[in-house]
Amino acid sequence: VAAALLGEGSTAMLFLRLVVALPLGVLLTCAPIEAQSLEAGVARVDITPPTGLVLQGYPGVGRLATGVRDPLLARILVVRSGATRVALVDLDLIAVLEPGYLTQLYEAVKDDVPNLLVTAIHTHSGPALIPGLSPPPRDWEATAVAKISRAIHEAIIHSVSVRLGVGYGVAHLGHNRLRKNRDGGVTWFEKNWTGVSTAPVDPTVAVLRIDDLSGNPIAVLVNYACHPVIFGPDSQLYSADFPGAMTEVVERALGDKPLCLFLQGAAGDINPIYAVTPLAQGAVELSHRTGTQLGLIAARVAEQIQTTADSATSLQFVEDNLKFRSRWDATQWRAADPNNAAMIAAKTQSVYELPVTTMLINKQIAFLGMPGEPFVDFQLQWRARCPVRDCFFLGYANGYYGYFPTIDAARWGGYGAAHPSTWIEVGAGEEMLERALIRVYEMLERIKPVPEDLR
Amino acid sequence: MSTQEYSWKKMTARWSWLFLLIIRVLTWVVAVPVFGATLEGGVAQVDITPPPGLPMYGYLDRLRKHQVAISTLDPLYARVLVLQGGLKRAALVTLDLGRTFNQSWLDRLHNTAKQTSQIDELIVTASHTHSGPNVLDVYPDNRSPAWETAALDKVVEAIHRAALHLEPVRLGSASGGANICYNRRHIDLDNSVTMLWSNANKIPTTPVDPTVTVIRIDRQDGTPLAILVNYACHPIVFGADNRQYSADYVSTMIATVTNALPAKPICLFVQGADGDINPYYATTPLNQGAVEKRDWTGRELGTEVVRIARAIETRASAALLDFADDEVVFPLRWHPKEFHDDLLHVHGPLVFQDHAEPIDAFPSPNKLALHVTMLLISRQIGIVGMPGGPFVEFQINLRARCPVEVCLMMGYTNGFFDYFPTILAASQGGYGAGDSNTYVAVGAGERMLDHALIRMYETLGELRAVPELENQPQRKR
Repeated sequence: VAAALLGEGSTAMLFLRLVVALPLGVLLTCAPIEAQSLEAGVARVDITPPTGLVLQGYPGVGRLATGVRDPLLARILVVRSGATRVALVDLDLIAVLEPGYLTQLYEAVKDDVPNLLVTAIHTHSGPALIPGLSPPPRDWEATAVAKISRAIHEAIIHSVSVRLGVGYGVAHLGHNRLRKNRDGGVTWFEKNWTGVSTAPVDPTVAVLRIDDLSGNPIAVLVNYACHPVIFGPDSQLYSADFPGAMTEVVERALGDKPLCLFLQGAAGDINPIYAVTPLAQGAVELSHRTGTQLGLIAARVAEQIQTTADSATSLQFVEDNLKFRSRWDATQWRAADPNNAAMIAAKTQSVYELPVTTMLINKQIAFLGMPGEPFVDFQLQWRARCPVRDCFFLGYANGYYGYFPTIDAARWGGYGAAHPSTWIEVGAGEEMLERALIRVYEMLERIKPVPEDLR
Repeated sequence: MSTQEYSWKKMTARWSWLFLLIIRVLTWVVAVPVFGATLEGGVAQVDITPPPGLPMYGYLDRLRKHQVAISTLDPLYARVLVLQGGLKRAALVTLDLGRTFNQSWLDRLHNTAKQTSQIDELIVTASHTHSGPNVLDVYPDNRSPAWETAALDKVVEAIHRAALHLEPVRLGSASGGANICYNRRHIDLDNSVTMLWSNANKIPTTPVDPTVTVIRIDRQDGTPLAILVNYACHPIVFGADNRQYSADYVSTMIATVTNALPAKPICLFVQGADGDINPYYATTPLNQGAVEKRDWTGRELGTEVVRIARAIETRASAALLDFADDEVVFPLRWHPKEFHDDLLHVHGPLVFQDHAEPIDAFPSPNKLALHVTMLLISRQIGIVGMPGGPFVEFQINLRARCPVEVCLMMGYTNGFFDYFPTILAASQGGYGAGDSNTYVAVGAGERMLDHALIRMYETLGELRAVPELENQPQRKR
């Protein structure tokens, strides 16, 4: 009609076509593309080994497991955004599985989940996984891998769209076990029943709550730095120590709906106040008390978190392999300790490749994983320097390479700082931390791939 | 030619070898290290001002316009401090230049100084003046300019002179503050960066390190032999319109110090981590009083140095010198080939005479080996050198972690690889932090500082080579 009135090809007709077509074009361009949602699923599986295995964490030939105080679990959270999927596997163990079994696990799930972040709570009441005198329980490891891979698939199957929220609490349940003396020496400060102030300590309890879109909690992640060593060498039962009690308290407080994962932080120099308590002096009660206290704080934080669904979700994951030298001089060490040649050889290799994991959810929540026992200063630094508000620190992640003291702590010395339990070169922790920081900046596109004057 | 003349010449020729041998032996005897129980020091300085007509360092515009130096406002010096501690001898060479000479020049200097003056360790550092001749790693015709070779000979001779005059010395140090500079990166509320190229109104900025550190080296009679001044501030009061050689405010500072102290000590300026620090009167045009502003800046700093130096009480120091010069390898921050080609495309071929010169190679390097230097004097003074312009936070960080009485950060030392921003600064961007003036991997500055500190702690025996085997808690077997 318009063409007939205005004349086909006339200027007025062209203008009319433009006026009609332009908003239509804009409308088509802006038509809502279904927003990419964040999905998550959880699963748990009992991986408690059979009795009779060597328990690791304290000396004593023959500290064999005679039973189960509380089962050792693998807890799995699978998260997906777009094409990226990550499985966070949280183990009630002293360390992650040996490298060969981690590879098996990766191979078993890689088609569905190409990114794994496997971490351990570091209980000292579990089977031996850190290379040492006790042979690792390889049959059990193979069984555990099979169970964990099935659980990962189960978590994938049960994945739903989710919304997230983060909150923080404070718990004074740990102390720094390396007490610096005025004479420049360090005293081993194992237990702290009287609550003497020590430093540095990070009392932060960081909680990530993951809800389905109806607001039902699916998972609660609790990040806190403290060695699970309330049970001492006299305990011969498998146990997750205080984190086991903590997870129960959190799950119960939230109506037994979510799966609670305890993410061990940078606990390299942090002991619980009631560390290494003999059973006869109430270790069971104190472990339960510590876990309950932490659980109540975490639950209170979780209950107050208002989760939100981001309109633009994202999931970024990078694992860097950083090369480090051994810290020690092999020749001098062999001369000083001629009876430990095999251990010295293992800890004085020319190069070690350490996996450093960085993950960023929705450009807002950052995770750093280090493959060993970082000192707590790194966790404090991570939180202070990380460019997003919510930053989680995971020790014992994707490998185990002993302790990572800060450069300053390495100077002071003491257990974990200058003992055979640390063998990666001084400064490795700082470099790993900074690599993760750079990765987060890159993920946020704040460190750009091209110089600004050449864009 | 008479028979008598002929005989004399013949005799001279016959015995000349003996004469030369005697001279050589005498020289050797005088210069050979005498290993005493006290620290010894010797100083020298030499004018290395090149002839006019050379391209100048520091401003790409000046290079593009082919504006060369026309004369000398104040001469450019190399100043040398040779220290002997026990069996070790080290030479610190400060240059009134934009950067150090290339690696070949440094190697030749080190080798020659080793032969002629028994120098074990060499630290060469530049003040980073932007009113000196341009110095390149590789010259277009692959031949170093004659003045660089002449400068090499002069510095060799100055080191030799300083070594010849070694004498027992006493050390002292103290710090003060000078308010002559600011941080040229203004961080906006949205975390972006606005470059503040000058700041005549002295608007407060952060981070800045106003610390002036002074090391006083006295003869045994208490008269000052040398004054080392460490401060972080770009010597760029003169801008691109200046075509006269000058050490910028450093020359005024040094004149102020040497004229005020007895026995006219040699004053060595050690540039700090000035990667993001400008003088308030940066790049003042000549017709707006650049010379006066240069003098104000230098006098302010010099007056503070004099105040500090006068208050220092030197003391006999242990004859100990410890040194590390390690090559640390870093990847490139940018894609090597794309970076090289984009630089050429956007800025033209002269860009490599201004910055990013190590990238101008075929194939473009994807890794760079940087010298990180650590010097400990008498286990009392720690010096860390980085081969470029570190941002000032590294200097503040070094001081906070220093394990000895005093620590100095030296930029532009034993090589030149432009800027080293902190990780945070790299994420914010701006000149020297997110542009082509920085190309070594992000985090390199943090790594170099940690590396140098670890070397210092190792030297001090604070980091062991063997783990503690006694009294370890009986855990994890």
